[in-house]
Amino acid sequence: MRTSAAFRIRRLSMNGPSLTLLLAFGLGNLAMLGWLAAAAAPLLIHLWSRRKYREVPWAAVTFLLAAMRRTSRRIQLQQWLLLAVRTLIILLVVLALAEPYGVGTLAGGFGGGPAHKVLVIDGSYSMAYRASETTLFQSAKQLASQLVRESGAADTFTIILMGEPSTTILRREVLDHSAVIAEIKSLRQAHAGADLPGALTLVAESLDDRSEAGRRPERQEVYFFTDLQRKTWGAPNSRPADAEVSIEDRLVALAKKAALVAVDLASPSAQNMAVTQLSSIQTFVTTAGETAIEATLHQFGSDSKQNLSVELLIDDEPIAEQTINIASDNDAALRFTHRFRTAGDHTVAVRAVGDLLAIDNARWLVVPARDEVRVLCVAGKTGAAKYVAGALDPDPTDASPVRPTIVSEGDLAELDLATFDCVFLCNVGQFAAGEVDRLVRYASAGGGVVIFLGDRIQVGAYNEQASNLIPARIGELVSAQRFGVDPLEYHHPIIAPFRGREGAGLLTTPVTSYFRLIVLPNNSGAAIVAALPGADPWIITAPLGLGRTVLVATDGSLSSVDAETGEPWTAWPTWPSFLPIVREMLAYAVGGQQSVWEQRVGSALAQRDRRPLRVGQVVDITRPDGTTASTRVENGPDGGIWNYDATDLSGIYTVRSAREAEPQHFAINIDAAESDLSRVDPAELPAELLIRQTPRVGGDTAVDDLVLRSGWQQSFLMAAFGLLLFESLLAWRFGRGVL
Amino acid sequence: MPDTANTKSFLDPSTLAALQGLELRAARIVEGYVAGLHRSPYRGFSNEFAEHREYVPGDDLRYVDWKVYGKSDRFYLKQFEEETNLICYLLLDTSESMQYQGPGSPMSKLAYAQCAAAALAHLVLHQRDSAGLVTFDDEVRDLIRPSSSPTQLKQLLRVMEQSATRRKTRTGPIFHDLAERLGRRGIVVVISDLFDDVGPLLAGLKHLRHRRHDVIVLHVLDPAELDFPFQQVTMFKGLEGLGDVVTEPRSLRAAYQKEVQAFVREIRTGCRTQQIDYQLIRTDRPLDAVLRTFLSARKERVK
Repeated sequence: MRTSAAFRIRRLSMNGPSLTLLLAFGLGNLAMLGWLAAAAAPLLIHLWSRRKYREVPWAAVTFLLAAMRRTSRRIQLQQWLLLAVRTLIILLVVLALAEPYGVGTLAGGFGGGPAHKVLVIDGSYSMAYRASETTLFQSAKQLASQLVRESGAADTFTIILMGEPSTTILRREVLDHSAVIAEIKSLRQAHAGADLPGALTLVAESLDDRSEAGRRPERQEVYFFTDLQRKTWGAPNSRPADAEVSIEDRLVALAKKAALVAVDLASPSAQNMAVTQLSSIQTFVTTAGETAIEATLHQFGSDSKQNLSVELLIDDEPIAEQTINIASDNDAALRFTHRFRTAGDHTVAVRAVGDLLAIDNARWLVVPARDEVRVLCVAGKTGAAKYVAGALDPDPTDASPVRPTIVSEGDLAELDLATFDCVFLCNVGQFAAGEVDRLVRYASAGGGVVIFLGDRIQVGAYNEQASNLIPARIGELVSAQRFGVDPLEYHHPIIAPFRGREGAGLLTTPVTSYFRLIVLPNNSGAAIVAALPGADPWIITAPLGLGRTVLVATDGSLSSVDAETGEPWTAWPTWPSFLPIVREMLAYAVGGQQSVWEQRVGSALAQRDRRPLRVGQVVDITRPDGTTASTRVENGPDGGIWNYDATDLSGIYTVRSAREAEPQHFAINIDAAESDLSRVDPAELPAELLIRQTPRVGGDTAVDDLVLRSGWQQSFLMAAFGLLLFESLLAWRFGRGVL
Repeated sequence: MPDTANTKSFLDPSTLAALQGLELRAARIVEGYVAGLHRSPYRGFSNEFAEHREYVPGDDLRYVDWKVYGKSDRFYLKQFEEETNLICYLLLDTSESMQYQGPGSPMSKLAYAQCAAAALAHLVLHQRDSAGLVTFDDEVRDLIRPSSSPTQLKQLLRVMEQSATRRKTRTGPIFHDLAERLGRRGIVVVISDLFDDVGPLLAGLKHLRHRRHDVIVLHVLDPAELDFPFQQVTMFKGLEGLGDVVTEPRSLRAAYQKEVQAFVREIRTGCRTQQIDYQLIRTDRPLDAVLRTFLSARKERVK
């Protein structure tokens, strides 16, 4: 264990208290001072050598004595000089080994004056790694507090919490050090990453801050308390896409205004396991059957994980457990199955135990289980929705949860779309006023809209009025010369189940007439499910808000008939591929709602269900750590709305909008990229950023190791080397060429 | 005749150190020196015939007495009168300081000085000149009067070999004393490290000069005493009771060398002033410098 000491001598100038000379120096490795005893070696050797002599008879003693009388004084001086030089050489080497340094003012010469210290504390969740009794974040706070405590009384501080986003907690006009320490202690860590460029911008602003007197302090220092994680600090030479300068250039620019120190808190070999993904296989969950829940875990680091216990919790109750092994730097997938007994929102959690960074060991979902999936089938003409409804629920007597309801085009305006999970528009010719907006809002809120284009479609109305709704522009009606479907390599989830099942009838689906669909270039979310001969899209999907839309180029019934031939546009509804594709389209369209099953840290929570809210009403939120917060309902376009965006912790947030109402749950998860604890190589960082290692001792970390100091070690060694040469010269000179 | 390279190597103190006995060393030194010369170092010839001496390789063939050869089938040279009058006094310092042998030196100062003295005695006596010896430390220990008798060399060598080194140096008064005691004028060769007060030392030498002797000073020092090569902390245990000193030599080296060089310079200057031949002798150098100095001085005198 290294020990160090700093020595301070304060001397006030006679001219007044404004001139304070602070002389401070220290030694980084006190243990080396034990070697100071070696400085006595030259004297001891000298004394010993005088006792050890050879004896020779000598006749010319007279001349010897005469020479000694002549030179005794000079020889004595020479010997003392040599002794002194040799002793000094040893002293300098020992002191150099003790790592001497100048503190504070000496780093920049005898400047005097107070310093402005910017403390940047890395608040990313990787700092929750518990290397010892405390987490890295707690160590950072302790060190920062200690630094404040041991700084000069006139020093000022700025505290920046590096997170997403980075924020300035304290500006330098606060001079009371105890207040600064209190602020540091109150810092809380979010379950998010760290925005280093943003923090550097805040640092630059604080360095440019001028005091009330209009002057910048003579001495400015920036301390980064961080784990030097590659995700935050990595690739300092590269320019982020939206930045003009690289991290390295920015650090170099900051170094011109202040001394930069990075306090490296992490250990180089940290291992970490994280639950990186949690989802349900099914896009809608019903109480009718088992739901498969899939979790992915990743082991970051060079060690593998053996016999890791992973739990599934439903509504906070442990339901199942599995044990897995994860190879180093690899994923492991788990599947649990569960049957939800009751309809409503259920919280699903997967949790693994047993590593030093606990934040990423769990992941949550809020799964809305329903007794049935209600589908609205709007028929543009008689029979337009028959086959679709039949495909959705082939046997109404069985326990299938899908409940299609067929209405006519005219009834659409009176229905509350929110009560349906999906809307199938089957050959609907055009829309009434406001209907497109309703459908767009419905889809944006998570609903699914599937549109079959038949012979009643008014292309112009669709293209002009429903351009917000449909994922492509409708072109001319095409008569196909031949049948055939190109599955486009089964990439799309709707068509993927047909991979390997060429006999299922997909490839031979007969489509005679269809509309040519043109995907607009600015619609980057649109995806073509499959194509017809001539490469014309058959089915196109696109996200719309939280929901999804599906556009089919042909009819979903036999009721669309070619005017010339009298033949149906397509025999697809009678084809084996019809039922599975319709059901897959349902699953896909409804699947947009899955995006609300979980959100990322920092996302805003908003009302999800359709209950009415009173403007001004208080909404209570229980956070994952058990603390509560509240927000008020405000006026929105569709009535009262509320939102809450302080989702800095991962876990389940429970919201109650009224005392007797059912609570709503929201699952907030971390971005697992922060779980990779691999560190940036200090050599990649600019030399202007001094990297300081700290001993990770529980509690008592040495802040003297951090305090900026100019190392005198090299100077001492150079001086010792110079003296060594000088000593050789002296010895030669005094001994007349004999060393 | 021994080859030049081999004989020359006998001038090298490391080689000499391996030889046992001063007589052998002296003979080898002289042999080695002579073999390197183009002509005999031995004296020139006047007109007045004095006696014969046996030919040695290198002698000038002009002076071979062919008549004797005709009679005896042996080579003899004619010697002439004047040269038989040369007297050489060898003053050998045997004080304790001369005992010092530095790291890396093949022999101590005393051993080197003995070799030098012995070589000179050998050379002198071989020429039928007279050689005498004085050994001294803080007193005159031995005094062998000069003689040219055939047994003189052996006697001189014996005395040299037996001299013990225990005492301090006290050159000044000894030189004064010897200046009075030495009889006829001749060449006085002082072989010493001269670790004594410079003033009295030079005064003593001056007295010798005053007595019309030709003085040669062979200042024998160990390389370590000149270079001070020591590295680590050393306790220097002083000879001649001068005490011990602990010091770090590297820091002292420059200052010490300055002191020694000042000492040497002072003596050299002092000698020059007195027209005394001065030669600094390092004990790691070959001995030909010794012989060369002596012979050039002798030539000057004979002129």
